[in-house]
Amino acid sequence: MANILLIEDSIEAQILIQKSLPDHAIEATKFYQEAVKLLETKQYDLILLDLNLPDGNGYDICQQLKEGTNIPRIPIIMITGQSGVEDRIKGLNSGADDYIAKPFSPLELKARIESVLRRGPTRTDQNQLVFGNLTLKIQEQKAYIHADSKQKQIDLTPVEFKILLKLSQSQNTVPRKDLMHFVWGKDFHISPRNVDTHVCKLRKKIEDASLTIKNKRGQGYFLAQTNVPKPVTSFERELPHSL
Amino acid sequence: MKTESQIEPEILEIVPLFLNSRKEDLRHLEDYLQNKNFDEIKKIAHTIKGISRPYGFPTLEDMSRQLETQALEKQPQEIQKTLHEMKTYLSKYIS
Repeated sequence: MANILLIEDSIEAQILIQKSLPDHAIEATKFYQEAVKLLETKQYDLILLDLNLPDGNGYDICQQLKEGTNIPRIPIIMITGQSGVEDRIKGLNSGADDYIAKPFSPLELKARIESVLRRGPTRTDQNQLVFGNLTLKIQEQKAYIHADSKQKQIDLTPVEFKILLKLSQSQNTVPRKDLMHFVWGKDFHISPRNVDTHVCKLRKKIEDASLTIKNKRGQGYFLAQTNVPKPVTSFERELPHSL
Repeated sequence: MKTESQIEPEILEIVPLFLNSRKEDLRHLEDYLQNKNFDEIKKIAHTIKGISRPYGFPTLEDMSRQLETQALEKQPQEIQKTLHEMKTYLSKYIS
């Protein structure tokens, strides 16, 4: 089951699409501004997008998703009454992953959604990692935290970003030696204490996130879920001295 | 509930809602025609065109496509004829 955001101005089209897709969780809105707010605060696997909205244009949403930093990259299928070749090209060029002209067959809609979902998450995974309210944009080497319905960028150094990336890519505890190799390379001489210092600073920078960096004595570091931001004194007490 | 073409049972459940909205649309379309508000006629025709077939009314799609073109070309007499055809067609399904 996928979480789908349906942005469509016709209520009957909304109902029709919802009825056609009983296996998916669909949230619908007819307003552009509401859609942007939903996209900034909730996680969706796919967007079904009509072009003509009462307060905006579907192309703007596509453009915002393509260029913006406040909204995670999500596959988009345009569903619109504009069926000309030029309209289709414009839609695909503005960032849509697929384009369905109205009237559509419910079965075709289902098939296209499955097709886009099959390829969507792979591409998203390659460019972006999401953990709770923390998002890492790999190509841009930037990290963001969702808080109070806003997404704010965390000011990370390249080393801190690499440490966070390495930890987020691993299901297990990452040995300090592996972190050193990943961040600085095997040929670069670096003291293990340097890793601790960077982790300490990084931990402080992500204290508003729903996860934190923990130390498993003698084994290494790992990311752990937490809903309570840690006070500074707490993480200082947990600072590892040796592994 | 009767439709022109066969549709899936889960869609059939919501056909009454669709037909009620078309009844409303016809009323609005006649008002807009009187006021020569071709933009609004075009908008409504465009919406009906996009959803009629999946709800089981392909002929209504053809009529609304025709209506959209007539509104674009600002042809009140042609619009009048198409609205009459739509009304006759829908009366077979709306009780």
